Amino acid sequence: MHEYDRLYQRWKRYRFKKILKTILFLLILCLVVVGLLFAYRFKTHENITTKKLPKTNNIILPQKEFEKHLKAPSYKYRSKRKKSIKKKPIRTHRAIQQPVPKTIIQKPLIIKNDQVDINELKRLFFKAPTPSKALIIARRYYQQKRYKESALWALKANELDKSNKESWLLFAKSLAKQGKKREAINVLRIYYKKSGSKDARILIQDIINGVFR
Amino acid sequence: MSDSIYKNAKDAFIDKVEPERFVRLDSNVVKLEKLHSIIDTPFKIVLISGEPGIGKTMLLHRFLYELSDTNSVVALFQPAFSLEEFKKKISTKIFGHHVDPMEAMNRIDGTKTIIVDEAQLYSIEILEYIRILADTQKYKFILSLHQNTNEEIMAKKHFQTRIAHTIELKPPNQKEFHIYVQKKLFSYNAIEIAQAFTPKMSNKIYNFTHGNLRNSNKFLYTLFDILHYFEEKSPTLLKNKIVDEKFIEMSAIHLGYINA
Amino acid sequence: MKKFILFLVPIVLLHANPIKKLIQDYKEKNYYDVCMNGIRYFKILQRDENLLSMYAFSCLYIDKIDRLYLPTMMLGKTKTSRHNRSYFSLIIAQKNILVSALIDHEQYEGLNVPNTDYVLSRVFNLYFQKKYKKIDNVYIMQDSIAKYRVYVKEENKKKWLFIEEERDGKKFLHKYR
Repeated sequence: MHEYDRLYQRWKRYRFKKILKTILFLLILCLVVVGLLFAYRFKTHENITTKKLPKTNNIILPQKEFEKHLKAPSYKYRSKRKKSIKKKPIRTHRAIQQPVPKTIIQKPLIIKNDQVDINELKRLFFKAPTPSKALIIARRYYQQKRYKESALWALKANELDKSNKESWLLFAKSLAKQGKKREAINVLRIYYKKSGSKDARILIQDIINGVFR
Repeated sequence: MSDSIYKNAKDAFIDKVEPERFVRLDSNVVKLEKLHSIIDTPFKIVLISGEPGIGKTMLLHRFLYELSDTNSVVALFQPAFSLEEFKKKISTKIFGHHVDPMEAMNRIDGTKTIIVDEAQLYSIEILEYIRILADTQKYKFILSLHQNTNEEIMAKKHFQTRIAHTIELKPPNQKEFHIYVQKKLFSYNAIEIAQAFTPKMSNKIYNFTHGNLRNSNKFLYTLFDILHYFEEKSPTLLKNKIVDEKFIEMSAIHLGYINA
Repeated sequence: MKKFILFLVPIVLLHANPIKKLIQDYKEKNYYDVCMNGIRYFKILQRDENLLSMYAFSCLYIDKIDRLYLPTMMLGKTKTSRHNRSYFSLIIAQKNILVSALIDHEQYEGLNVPNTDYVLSRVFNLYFQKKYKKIDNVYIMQDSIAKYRVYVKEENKKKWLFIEEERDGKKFLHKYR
């Protein structure tokens, strides 16, 4: 059949065109992909021109304008010293229910982790009161910002050992934190009078000039 | 010219009515069963619609073929162009001679079902007459017409409430189409080709014909015709394949599916 | 009685505003007092960039370069303070590099840094430009501002970098580590 021969020719042409189209398409696709890649590379590739570092002949000088604006900040300080130091009575705390045994076998209280319950500490204290145990409790309360309680326990420690420096300081600090600066300073003065402690002196100054707040 | 394997294949796809070689597919089996189930029930009009070439006529032929009782069913596959011709045709089929169907009505024992193919070709006059006959309840009509045509709309308008059932024929899907091709080839003894025909090939053809059976038959006929020609003329073109892809493309070009 | 007087002394001292005193000292060029006392009031000084700069410069003038670290980190709110921050940073860097180069004999190359008016910067630049004469492990340098003798000496089991500066007929000794 003649027409089928012609059909075959037509088909060959069609096939050829199809292949050509496919090649062209692939070529364009490749070009596009390559083009995109290049564009991307150029974008990220920063044009680093080798800049020559200039020879520094210039000197950096300090700027002293601040000298014109030196001003001491205002703060409260004690204007007059009281003539006599009033001896303020040390607050009495509630009497310990249990009798204190004469011979106290000091068991070293080893606190392995910080999370030991404060009640447990108190229980141990009442079992066998020592200044150190009281101070641990006082410190804990101080950390927890419960200054009333820390003062109380510092006082307990102090009663057991009047020479214990930390009990004085912690008591005074607890007072100061409660806003009772005057009482705190008084307490420290008393202690300083007794002991001449440098720390007490520094703490007094710090409370006065507001460094310790 | 030796016996070509393609000869049988070609025969398989010649558009002719062969109800005994009807290819059963899931979709058309359902329709046939529906027809069987309603044929003995009382109805006035049943519509069978579908796009041209979908296989309405083939289905109806097959239906008739399957009917055990052929007495009460007649079919008009050739359209009538005037009312007189219509009356003549149906009365001849039912009564054996030319009478007025309305007058001869009482002669009917029970009911007579008349299958009318290509009903879209019928004039309003004939359609109205069909309606009148249907109203007698002695005549039942199964009308087969092309879908989505003005005629369909008109027919529906005319018959309105009298339409008891509408059976819609849809084209097969790709899977079904492949089964159709293979079954056809098998039933015509083109076994080698049936085995060599892959779903891929069916899909390629499906893409062109969209499953329209008439168009597909034409396509496949053309395909095997071309193969047959080149088998003799230049066998090397076949590349030792029973159906090389290029011939499908060639058929498509020949039939105008591809512009080349 | 002694204790009472001792007790009074801190009280008397407490009456003076310490910051005012620092400013006074600075104006009178008692840089030593400003730097040494200023550290105690650092918390107050750090709140004011002017006071902080005063402290920093005081420490610089007594060659306490290490005390410049904190102020250098903290300055930066204004253009001026940022400038001074760069100034101090430069001096700190130059001190560290020069000490490392001269005491530990480390090799440093490609140093091209701006100069400052501070003595160490001048010596730094002269050294790295190799504009010196080395006689018996002493580097002798000179520029338009002063003459310098640079050497390393051990003091209290620690090695120090000494710079003797002769400027306007006066001699100054700088010590770095």
